[in-house]
Amino acid sequence: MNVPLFLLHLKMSRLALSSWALALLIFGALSVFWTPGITEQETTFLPYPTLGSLPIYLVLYALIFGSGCLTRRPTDDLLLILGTLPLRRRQIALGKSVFFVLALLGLAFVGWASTALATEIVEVDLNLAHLAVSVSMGVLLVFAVYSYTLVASAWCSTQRSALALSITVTFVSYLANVIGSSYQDMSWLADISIFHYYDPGRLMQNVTVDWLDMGVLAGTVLGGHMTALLIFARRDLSV
Amino acid sequence: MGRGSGKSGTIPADMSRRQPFIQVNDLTKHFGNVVALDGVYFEVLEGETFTILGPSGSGMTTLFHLLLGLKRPTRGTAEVLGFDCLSESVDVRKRVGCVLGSQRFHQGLTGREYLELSVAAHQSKELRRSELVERLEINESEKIGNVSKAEAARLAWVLALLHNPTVLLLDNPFHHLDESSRRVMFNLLEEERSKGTTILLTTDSPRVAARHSDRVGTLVNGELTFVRDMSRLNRKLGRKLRIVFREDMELQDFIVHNLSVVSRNGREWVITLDGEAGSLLKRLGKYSVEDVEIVEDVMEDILMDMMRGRGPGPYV
Repeated sequence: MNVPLFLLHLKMSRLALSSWALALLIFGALSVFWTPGITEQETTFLPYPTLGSLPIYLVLYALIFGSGCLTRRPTDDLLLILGTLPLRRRQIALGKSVFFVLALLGLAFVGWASTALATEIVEVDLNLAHLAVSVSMGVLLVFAVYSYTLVASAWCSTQRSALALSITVTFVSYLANVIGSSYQDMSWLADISIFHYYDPGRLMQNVTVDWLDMGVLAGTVLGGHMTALLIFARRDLSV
Repeated sequence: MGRGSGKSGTIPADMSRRQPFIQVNDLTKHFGNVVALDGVYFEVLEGETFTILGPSGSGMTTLFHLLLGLKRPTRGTAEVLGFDCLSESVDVRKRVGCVLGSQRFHQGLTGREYLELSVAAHQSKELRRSELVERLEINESEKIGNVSKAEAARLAWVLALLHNPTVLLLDNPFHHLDESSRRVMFNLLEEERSKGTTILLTTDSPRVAARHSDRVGTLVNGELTFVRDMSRLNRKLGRKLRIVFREDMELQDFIVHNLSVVSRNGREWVITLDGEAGSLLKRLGKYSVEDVEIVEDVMEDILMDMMRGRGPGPYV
């Protein structure tokens, strides 16, 4: 990680809440203002789920980044030099989260923009607003994964164990969605999976944002972060 | 004064009016069943250099981690400049400069980036940056992975001194340094001492402790023992000299009142001299002398004994 960039998130950590608010504002704007007018367009051959599920690949980034966010102790080799500086532990952790938010939004935008450019080049009729809504919802899903990975990061003592725990949770959640969606009598399994609340295919073809889906994902984000902070406050400097 | 320092060493009278800048009371740290620090008490007064001498693994690094608020003590408290090291650790770190022997730099970053980070974190002006960078021969634009361990260690010193700290915490700071860098650092350390910077230094080298301290304490298995005032110890010990004569000498030919013979090996004598050297030099002028050498291992031997838990012996 580059120091100027790290300095940027140290400064940005003071504005962490504003950054979160801004991120949610962008998401809200995309959802609320663009949704009503984007129901008629359909593409000819591009597979909607593939285009819309771009953010899913960022789940891996969330797992790796989030699992190391709080587990690493200030006395770890490379962090020790930060430990000698007048920086608060929360400031460093918050700085990392802000960095993640910015990075994720940037990556999602790049993904959206590159898709838009590609469809322009091959002259495919794709409603980019549909895509934007789908990507935004996907980003919210990635934030949800990141938030429970933060909980694992606050709870576990090593990044490896935090990563193993959060990968397990993610895999089980994904599997529950697949099984719940496949078998009618086990649909309750899908309901408890966060992946159930993100359906890029539906969003791309029939853009009606389900407020329940959004609420569940946003609730996971908020709940995960609050839980992680509570655990962090109790366990910080416990060694 | 802490209990331990009263037990094992006194602060000289000329220092006793100064304020304690570092106060450690009953500081204890357990890692499971392992006792890293066991009820350590000491004070470091304003402008004083207090050295903790101990072998590797004796708890020195843990002590620094506790002073910087990077670990929570099992028992006891520590204060630097009146700030609690745990609850007010950021205030502590604003005012101290640290060189930690165990710290490592990210290989992909440059010295300049680390300097910028430090300046930003301390919100300090770069008062000494150019001076220190030039003096310690830091190549700011080079990635840490491409520079020697000695240069990385010198960079740690620059980072520690950049913001003109009131207190210096130096944990085995001469580790990884080559001889020429070490000399530069010794000079820097002495400059800071003469400026009145309060210094807590840990080392495993009796030589460093002997030459760069006002007081020395030994840390063995997490316990601070045998705190001693160096100037008082020096006065008591005198100096050890090795003299090589060109001809055989008889003992009675060579006795002055403040000299005692430690050993003789043919024409080579090892003596200790207590006090001024005038009478010895006058006596030496009468004989044909091949070589005179000051052997400074007396203090180091004593400190080594202290470090091994054997105490300073009959000297103090």
